[in-house]
Amino acid sequence: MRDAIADETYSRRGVLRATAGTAAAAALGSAATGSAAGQTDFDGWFTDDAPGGTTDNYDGEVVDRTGEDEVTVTVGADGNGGTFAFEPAAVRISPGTTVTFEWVSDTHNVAVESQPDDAGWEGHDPIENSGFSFSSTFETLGVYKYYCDPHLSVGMKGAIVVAEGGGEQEDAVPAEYGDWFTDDAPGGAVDNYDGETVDRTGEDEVTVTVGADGNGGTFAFDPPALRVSPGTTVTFEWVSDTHNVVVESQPEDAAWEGHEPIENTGFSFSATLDTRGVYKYYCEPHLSVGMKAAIVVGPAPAEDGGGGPAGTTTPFSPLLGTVFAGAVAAAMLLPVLAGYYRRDQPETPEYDDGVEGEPGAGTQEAPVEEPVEELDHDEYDPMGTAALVAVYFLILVAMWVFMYFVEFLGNELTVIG
Amino acid sequence: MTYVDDYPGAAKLVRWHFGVAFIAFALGGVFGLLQGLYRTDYFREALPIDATQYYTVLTGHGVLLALVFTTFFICGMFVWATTRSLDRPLYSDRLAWVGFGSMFVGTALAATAILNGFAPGLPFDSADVLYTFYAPLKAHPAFYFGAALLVVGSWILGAVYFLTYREWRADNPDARIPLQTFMVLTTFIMWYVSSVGVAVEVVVFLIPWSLGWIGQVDPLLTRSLFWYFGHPVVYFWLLPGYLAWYTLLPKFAGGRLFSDPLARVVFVLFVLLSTPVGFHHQYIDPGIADGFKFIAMTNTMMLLLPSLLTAFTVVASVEHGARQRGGDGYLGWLRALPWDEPAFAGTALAGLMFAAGGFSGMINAGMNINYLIHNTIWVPGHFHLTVGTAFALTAMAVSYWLVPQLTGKPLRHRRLASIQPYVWFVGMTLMSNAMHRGGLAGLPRRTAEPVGDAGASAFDTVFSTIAEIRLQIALGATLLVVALLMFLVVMLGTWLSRPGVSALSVNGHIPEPLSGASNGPRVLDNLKLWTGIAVVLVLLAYGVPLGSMVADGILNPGASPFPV
Repeated sequence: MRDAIADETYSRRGVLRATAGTAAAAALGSAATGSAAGQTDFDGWFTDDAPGGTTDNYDGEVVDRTGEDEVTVTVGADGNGGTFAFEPAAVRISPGTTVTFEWVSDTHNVAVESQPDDAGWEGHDPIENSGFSFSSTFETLGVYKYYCDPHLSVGMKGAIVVAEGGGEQEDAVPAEYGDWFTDDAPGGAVDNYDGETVDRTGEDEVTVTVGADGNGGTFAFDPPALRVSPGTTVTFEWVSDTHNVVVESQPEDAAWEGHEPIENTGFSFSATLDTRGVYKYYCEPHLSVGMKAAIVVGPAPAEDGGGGPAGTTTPFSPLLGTVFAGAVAAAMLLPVLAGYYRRDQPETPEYDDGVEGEPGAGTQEAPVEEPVEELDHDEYDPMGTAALVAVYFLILVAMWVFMYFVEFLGNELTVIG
Repeated sequence: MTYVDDYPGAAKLVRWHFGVAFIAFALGGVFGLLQGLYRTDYFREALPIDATQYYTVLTGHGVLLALVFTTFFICGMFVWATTRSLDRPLYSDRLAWVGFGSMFVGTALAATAILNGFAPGLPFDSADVLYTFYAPLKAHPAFYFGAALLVVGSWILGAVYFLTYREWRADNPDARIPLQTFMVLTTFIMWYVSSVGVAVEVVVFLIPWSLGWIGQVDPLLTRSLFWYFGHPVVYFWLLPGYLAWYTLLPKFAGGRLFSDPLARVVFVLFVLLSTPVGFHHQYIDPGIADGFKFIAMTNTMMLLLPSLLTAFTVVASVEHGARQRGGDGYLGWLRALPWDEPAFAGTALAGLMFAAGGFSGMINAGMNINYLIHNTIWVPGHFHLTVGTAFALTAMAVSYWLVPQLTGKPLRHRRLASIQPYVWFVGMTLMSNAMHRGGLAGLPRRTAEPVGDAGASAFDTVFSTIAEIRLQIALGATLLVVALLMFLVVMLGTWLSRPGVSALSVNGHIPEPLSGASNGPRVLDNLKLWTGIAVVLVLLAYGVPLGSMVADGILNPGASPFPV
């Protein structure tokens, strides 16, 4: 008996989970977010930890210009408390792209802080004024960091990421989450997801914090949306209690299992994600407050690659919409149609109790039925009804008995367990 | 002379109400078939919907049938019942048309919002909130405005019935209220008392919430307000069926109503007990004291009394008809009944099915065994017997008799009409029994997925298999839609035919009851007394629990919904 109940409970929960998964997976196809912008911290290059302090005009977004042959960086753009910014501060390009640096204010240079081992970019050390420009072509994959010597102290720093992916879109995996982070998905909106996908491509090991601050308590995965390269090992570290990692959906041929047992602070586990695609997961105890996250495995596509406008939801089926709109219109037209067919019917007169005497006036009804045998109140004994009520009562008893033993049929016919 | 000749204005009103009702019926019925096939995994790939749109279809099916079809049909039928039994035109046709217009605009708004689920980009966002529209599911405001207009329109129609009655009362100060009018008025007293709940839910909470004026609502409070209305609404569907069973079915059977006073007692009991029962939909909701759930259960069980009284009175009246037609014996009289008359067959089969719906209803209402079937497919199995057959099949059967009188045109496609109730009955038998048994095996309701497929062993049926249950549901749903189409063909054919070609095959004569109103006490007609007691019972059942929900902040949920 106890096992039977347990089985049933388990199965209902399983069904709910399966349902949620399918609904979300179905929704996935209908949305195209198209956000190709990544995010990275460049080992703190734009933060207080690096020389020159925080770069204010870097908002965490690496502008994705992969797939383009020529890219321009403005030198001395507005930012960092004056005209002391590289714009964009961080940009991702494809190998072979030519980057042109254009001065739009005075007294700046481009000093190289670091670059990939076998790269030989020199930047432009001489200080130049508005109107000057120079170009460099970047071939070697990796991160290039540079700054303006006169204005380093106010955070005039920049970075260029040269990465595969642009122009070769077959490798690219768009950061499409469907409605996973919105109110339309189970658990509702994820407050700590701000629309950015943190880009950690090219790194071998990446950490996701489980139970970080967010979603109205310690109910967040940090980062909620993450992009890594195939083969990256992702480590999940618990920093608060009562969480697990349940996989909502993943690429078809992937087999990530997450970590369903509920664990507390200090626990961690790792997973190596090889298959390209989008992995969605959540914390089951805190799904209702939006403790959800996703990992994209694979490089980001070029910003202007692909079809639909970014961030919009395309209708699932315009044809179906048209058909239904047509059906509604037809339904509303039906009375008009009916009126057309009935145009021959003579206008019914106003309340015309007066025409009664006139023979043939109005509609002819069927004659009132005459009983074969007139039965009055006193002559009538509803014995048949009594018989049926008895039958009904017996069925009722039988149904209650059946109902009672349904729970016991798995074992045996017993009332004492 | 038939009804349309006596009351052309009222007949036109009824025709328009029925017209909208039948269109909603057609669309909602097709949605039902889509739903039935999709979740039972028959032709799933070929159907033009996906798992998300399943819920759009589900919402459309529920709202169009349970709210639109029913309300329009009932308001139209009550116009007929009031004018016929009081033998006078309505107090004001114009006011009645205002009510109709309000309901019509409301329906159009809500239906558009729902249908947007198929094609985002139309003016309203979607409204996949199911017909049980409480928080946290949120629809576009158009849906809530539509629902509000629908209810308000029905209130206006109700006011017209009462005003017509008041005029009649001025002319007949000492007469007993004619039975049909008594039933209309008591039904609407019950409707006014109970629909206040949904009006408050929609106007005070859901509309401001969907417009973004308030950030959150208390889900338990809005849920309770919905179910405050959500159970009496089933009696709003059922009582017009009772009106037909008491006043028309005996005539269809060739007999007379057994007892007029018993019928009045039944309707009075429904006025008193229909509303303070809503908590029996919330047995598993936390935040409501068990004692109040127990009160709701007690009231619900007491509602079995009028239904059993009805079973006795109506069956005795039908038996009277059979004996007047020459039938005899304990059960042999059943053969003497006019089973080939669509109006009789439909109404009688609907009553029979309601008896079965009563069985499962008792289980729903039992606080302990409710846990066994709560939120399983058992529940839709139950209400397809009640609203889906006791009301819907009765409405179709009454239409076979009434529409000729409303149009002055004889019923067309009679053979189709006389088979139709049986097709519906068989279809519903297949579908509903399978749903009940699936519910006992734990199959959930409100899911697009053909559960039982994966890990099928998790759902152990008592006998047979999940696959067989799914087949029966799909087959039943198909037969039901076939029956619906048969009905629509008959109605459309009748409606579009030319009038005056031949005499009607029906007459509007309704014989006097065997035991008339004068055999019952006058207090039965004291509507103010019954209304007063009904309100007191509602306050007893709902005052304290609603008070405690409001006390912790009118928009605040009582407790955090997740472990901290």
